[in-house]
Amino acid sequence: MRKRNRLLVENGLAGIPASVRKARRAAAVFFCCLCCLWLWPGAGCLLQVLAAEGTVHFGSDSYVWNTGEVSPLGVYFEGSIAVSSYSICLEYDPEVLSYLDGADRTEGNLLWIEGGGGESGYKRMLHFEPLAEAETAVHMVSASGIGMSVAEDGTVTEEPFELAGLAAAPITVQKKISSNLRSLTAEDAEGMEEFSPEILEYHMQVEYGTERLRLEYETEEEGAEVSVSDTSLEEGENVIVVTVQGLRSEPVEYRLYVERKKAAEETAAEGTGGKEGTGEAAGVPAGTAGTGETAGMSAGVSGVGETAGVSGEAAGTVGAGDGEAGDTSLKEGNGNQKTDAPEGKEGDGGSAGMEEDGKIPLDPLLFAAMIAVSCLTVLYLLLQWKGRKKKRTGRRAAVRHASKAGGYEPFRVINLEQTVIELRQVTMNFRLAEDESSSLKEYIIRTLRGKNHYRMFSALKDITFDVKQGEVLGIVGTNGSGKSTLLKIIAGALLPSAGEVIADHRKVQMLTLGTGFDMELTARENVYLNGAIIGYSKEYIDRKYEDIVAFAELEGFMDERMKNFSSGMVSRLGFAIATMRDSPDILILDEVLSVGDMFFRKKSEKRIKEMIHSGATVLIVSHSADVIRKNCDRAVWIEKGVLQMVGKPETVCAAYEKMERQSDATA
Amino acid sequence: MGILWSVLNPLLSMAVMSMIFSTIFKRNIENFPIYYLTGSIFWSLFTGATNAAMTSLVDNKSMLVKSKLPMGIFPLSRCFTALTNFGYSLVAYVVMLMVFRIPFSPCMLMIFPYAAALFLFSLGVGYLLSVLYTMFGDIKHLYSILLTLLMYASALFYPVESTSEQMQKVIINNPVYNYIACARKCVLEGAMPDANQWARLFVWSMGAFLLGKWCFGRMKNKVLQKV
Repeated sequence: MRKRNRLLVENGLAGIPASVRKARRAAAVFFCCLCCLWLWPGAGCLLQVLAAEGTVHFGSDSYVWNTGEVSPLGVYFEGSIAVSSYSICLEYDPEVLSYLDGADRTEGNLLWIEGGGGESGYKRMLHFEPLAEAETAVHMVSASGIGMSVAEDGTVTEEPFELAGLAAAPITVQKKISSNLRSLTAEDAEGMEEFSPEILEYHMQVEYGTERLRLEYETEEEGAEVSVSDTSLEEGENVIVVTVQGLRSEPVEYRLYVERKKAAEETAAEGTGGKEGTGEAAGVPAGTAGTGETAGMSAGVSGVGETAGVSGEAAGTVGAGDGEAGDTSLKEGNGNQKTDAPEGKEGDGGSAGMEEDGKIPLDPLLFAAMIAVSCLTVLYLLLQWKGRKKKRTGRRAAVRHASKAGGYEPFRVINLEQTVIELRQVTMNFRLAEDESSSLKEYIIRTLRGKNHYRMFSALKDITFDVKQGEVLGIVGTNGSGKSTLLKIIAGALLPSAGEVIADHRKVQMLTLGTGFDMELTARENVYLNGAIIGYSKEYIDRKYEDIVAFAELEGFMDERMKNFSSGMVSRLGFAIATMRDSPDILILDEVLSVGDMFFRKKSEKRIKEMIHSGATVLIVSHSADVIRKNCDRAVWIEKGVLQMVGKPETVCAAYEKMERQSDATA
Repeated sequence: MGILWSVLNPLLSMAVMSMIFSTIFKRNIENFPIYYLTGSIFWSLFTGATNAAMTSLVDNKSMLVKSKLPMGIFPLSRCFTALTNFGYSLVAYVVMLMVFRIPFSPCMLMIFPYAAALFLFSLGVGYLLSVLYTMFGDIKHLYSILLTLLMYASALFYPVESTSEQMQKVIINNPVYNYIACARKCVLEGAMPDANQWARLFVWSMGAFLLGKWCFGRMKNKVLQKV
């Protein structure tokens, strides 16, 4: 028992063994059942003590009927217990409503509904036909019912229902207005003389030249909407549908079958009177849409939503949105969609003839623009194709010429034996603004104020030297002497303002502090990213991955985000990645050897020596003369953009240090 | 939820938008939710691509200067990301099409060329913006205001016909509206765009792309100096 308890406690459960819990549950259920069984007859008795309740009501709280239409009225009797019989007496006004059927007995203006049989509710439908416009009501005069209930021992008890109250149904009778057209005429149509609101089909003919059918119509009902289908006519049979939508009734459709004669001669029959270029109202003659001229006649005012009183309203499209005002029952401009009206779309009102249901002619301005752009595209594609051809065939020379006006010239690769990098008269000028404005606002203000001065800052002036294959060149100089700029130019990231740089940029590997890492990614991802940027394939990186991690001594940190690394770790990783290549051809180290502890420095120097022995060219940039002396075959000293000295490391460094001491003395 | 969220997010927002626009803002356009959604996904493609491309150069300052990557790759990659997001939202969009029972027509496949054209356009604008952003930092804010203006002038959630004549001219000449209108035409009506729209498609896409590329190429040096 105790062991089980302990197990349960360990698992977080209370210390009650399962069997006891089960027993308790079973007991609880049994007890509940007993209670229910005991209470059940009690509940039955309880129910019987309550009196039976019933309700009588009509189907709705109020009704609205039209004269002359057969209208139903629902009467309901519901009880809380089974209804064995019921009887309802109703009273109505025979002068307003004419009773048709539904009741069991009638007497004068009284109707009796009786029934029963054991359901809990009954529904009876009475039918009336309203005779005249009036406000009337159907009242319940009396209602009664007897309900029955069966006890579990079989005894049937009957008792009368207590009804909550008698109901009455107010009825509003309206005069039914037929939503037909009172009149409809079509101009220039033969065969359409007689119009009758009841007749819904008409046949007529028009002359050959008629391209649109002009219709005038009046509706019987105020406020009815009329929509007309496309009234453009083609040769032969056409069908035009005029739909009248009354406020309270179903839509009525009039179909006009129009035959357009085919004649030999053409008549210039346009002239619908309506102006083109604006949405045509459905065949309305003077309907200058958008200007809302009330043509004074009965039908069809579009534009301004005037309810022309008796004469109904046009469902025409609206010109330029003026018609928005008429929102009572005017369809808006988009009524087009609902009624298939002519595609007289508004909009480009400018181009003439836009409204035809055919081709929309090309805007001449667009056409010119299209020609211009296609020429440029062809030019661009040609340039691209040429450039690609050059790249394929030109593996020889890589000459970077100076940019005179910022033009960009393609590479050509030279494969020289000895000289790997050549610099000829390289000059780099920067245009520095006084008080550089970093935002557009400042720039504009400064320009307006005339304070936008520039000065030319010369970072490099006429630098000329060579680098042979396999040598280690050191570049010394104080901060701001132009070393980094020189490196960027050699690496190909910057174009010099003047002069020539000859170097195979594909072989250059530049390494600065924190080279091209994305700080948000983990170290592992950065290895692959960096490798990809340099140009290694994934398989190569996979192979070299362990070596890189081992060299950088970052085991266990590879899945950390690089933003959490110290600067030493970042540079170690950068160094490891850049030097993982078996034999990089040109390696540029920008102040990289100064970071890292003693052990790492030793390791990196060893690695560099390995690379040098395998034939790589290394450029080391440093402001510390020691580093240069230790590692380099040759040294270059650059000060304030000017090449001061080229020669053996000892001499150059000595001169460099002398200058430093001098500046110290004068300072 | 990761990748599922890329589809779920547009789907949910589309559902919400449909509900809002079909009950709260009833409009006299058939299938208003689809009308709005078509505009919305194209608009998101445009804004997503241009906004991301704008900051691409400055964000990747270090990589720009130190590595030999061609500079154009940064805005390009961001535009492609936006295109991918557009692809995800297309899935949600197709679901919406089925919900609203829009009949399928072969014209609907024209959405892909339109999206490609919009992609080219956004790329060109992205190139231009990225270069400008390196020089002037407040271009970002100015551009967002410009985008708001453009959005209202693109008839996303109202019918073009309900505006005044001048406004309609402006809207029709708005390049982004053109793509949206063509897409709506092919989805809702199953029709090809007319000559004017084709011309606009071509002119704006290639024009913006070439202009952007040219500016980008010319300003490379300045960017490297400034950044």
